[in-house]
Amino acid sequence: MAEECSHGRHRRMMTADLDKVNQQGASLTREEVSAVLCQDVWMRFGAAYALVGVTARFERATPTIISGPNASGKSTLLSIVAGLLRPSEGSVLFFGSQGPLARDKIRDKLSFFGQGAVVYQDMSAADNLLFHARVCGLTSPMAHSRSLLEEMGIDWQDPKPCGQMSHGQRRRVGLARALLTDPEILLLDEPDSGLDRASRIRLAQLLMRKAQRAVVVVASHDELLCAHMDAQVIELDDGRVKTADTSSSRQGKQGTGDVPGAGH
Amino acid sequence: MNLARQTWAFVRKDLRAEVQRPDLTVTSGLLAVTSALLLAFASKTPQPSMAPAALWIGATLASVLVSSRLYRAEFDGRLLDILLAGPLVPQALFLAKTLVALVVLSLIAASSLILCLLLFESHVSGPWSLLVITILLGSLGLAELAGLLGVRMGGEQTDLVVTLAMMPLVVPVVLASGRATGALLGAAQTARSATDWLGFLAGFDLIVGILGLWIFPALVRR
Repeated sequence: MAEECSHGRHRRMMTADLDKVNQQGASLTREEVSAVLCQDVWMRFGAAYALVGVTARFERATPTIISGPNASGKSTLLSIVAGLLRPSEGSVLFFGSQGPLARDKIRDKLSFFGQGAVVYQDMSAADNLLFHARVCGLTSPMAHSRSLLEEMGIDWQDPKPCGQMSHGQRRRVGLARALLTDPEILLLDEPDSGLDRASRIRLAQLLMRKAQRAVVVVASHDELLCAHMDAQVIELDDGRVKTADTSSSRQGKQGTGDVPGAGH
Repeated sequence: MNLARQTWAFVRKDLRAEVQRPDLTVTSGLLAVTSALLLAFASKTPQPSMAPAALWIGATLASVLVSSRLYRAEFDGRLLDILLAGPLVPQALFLAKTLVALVVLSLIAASSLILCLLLFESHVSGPWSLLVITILLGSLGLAELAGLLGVRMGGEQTDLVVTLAMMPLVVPVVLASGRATGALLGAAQTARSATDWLGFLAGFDLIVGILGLWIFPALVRR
C-alpha cells in the first residue's frame, strides 16, 4: 500500500537506485511479499528535507533497529510507515500490497508506539488496556491485558492513574497496549526511553520473540538495545541511510552489500 | 459495527472521566453563567426579551471552551497518533466527541435557562417539550462544531485560527436557537414560530453532521 506523491522537480535520485526501486515495484519476490518495503521515501517539511530517498526493507524474523542521532529522520520514517505522514515522494508497500484500501486493511494489524506518554493519563493501567481492547474489538481482552501488564511488571489491580506513575511505568503500560492486539507490524519509537537497564534488556528479549511472527521496527539510539537484539540495523544520518547491517554482521561477518534494507 | 463500537468506547471513557472529574462541565458552565450574570447586571431593570440572548451567548462561549478541551486527553502523550495508526475509524472519534460535547452543552444550556428565567424575570409560554428540543438541537449544533474544529486545536497558532473560524459558523445556531427560545418564552420580536426555527436548526445540524463525517478524517490526519 503506497502513499505516493509526485513532485518531480525535487526528485534527486541516483540512476542505479532508481533502477533498483523500479525492479522491486515491477516484480515482487516472495521475500518482498512478506515484508514492509520503503521505496525511495522522501519527506520534506517546508524547505528542509527530513528524509532523502530512503529505501529499506523490514522483514519478519529479523527485527529492525533504526538508529541515528537526534533529527536524523528516525521518527519521520516510522510515522510514514505508520501512515501518519504522507511522504513527499516514494511509497511504502505492506506485504506486496499498495493503495489506500490496502492501508485501511493493514490498520487492524499494525500497532504504533510513539514518543510521549502514549497512555491516557487519567486512567489506570488496566483501564487503558481495556479501552484499547474495546476500540480494537477484542472479544475477551481481560486475561490477555492482565498477562501483558504483568509481563511488563505492572500491577493489574493498581487503581493509580497513569499520570501518577513514573515515566518508565507509563512507557511499559504503553508497550503492553502496543502488544495487545498481537500485531503483524509493530512500530516502536524509542520504546527504551525511561527504562532502566534490566527493563531494556527484557524489552530486547521481548521484541526478539515478537519478531518471530511480526515485522518489528524500532527507532532507537540505545546501544544496549542494539547489543541485545539480533537485528538489522539501519543508521540514518541527516535523513539518509548511512549504513545498514545486522547484529551478526557487526559481530564478525564483514560486508553489508547483501543485507536487506540498504538504501542511500 | 466498528463505528458504533468505537464511538461507544470513546463516549463511555470520556463521560466516565467527566463524572469523576467534571472539569469540562464546571469551567464551561461557569463561563456561561458569568456571561448571563453580566448581561443581567448590565440592565437596570430585568428585560425578559434578553433571556434567550443571554442563554445562547453563554452556550456559545462555553462551546468554544469545550472545543479547546475536547481532545486534550488524545493530544496528551500523542495518543491521537497511536489511535490513528491503528484500527480507529476517524468518524467514530468525531461522533463520540460530538456526543460528549452535546451532553456537556445540554447540561449547561438547561442550567443557564433556569438561571436566565430567574435573572430576567421571564417565563415559559410555549410547550416545555419544544423548549427541551430547542436546547437539544441548539446544543447539538454547537457540539458538532466543537467536535469538528476541536481536533485542530492544540497548536500555538491553530487555537486562534480555529476560534476565529468557529465564530461565523456558530451564527446560524445562535440565531435560530435564540429565536426559537424567544418564541417559546413569549419574548420574540418575530412572526416566525418556534417550530420554523427548530426546522431550520434541525436542517443545519443534519448538514453539519454529514459534512463533519465527511471532512473529519482529513482534518484529524494533520
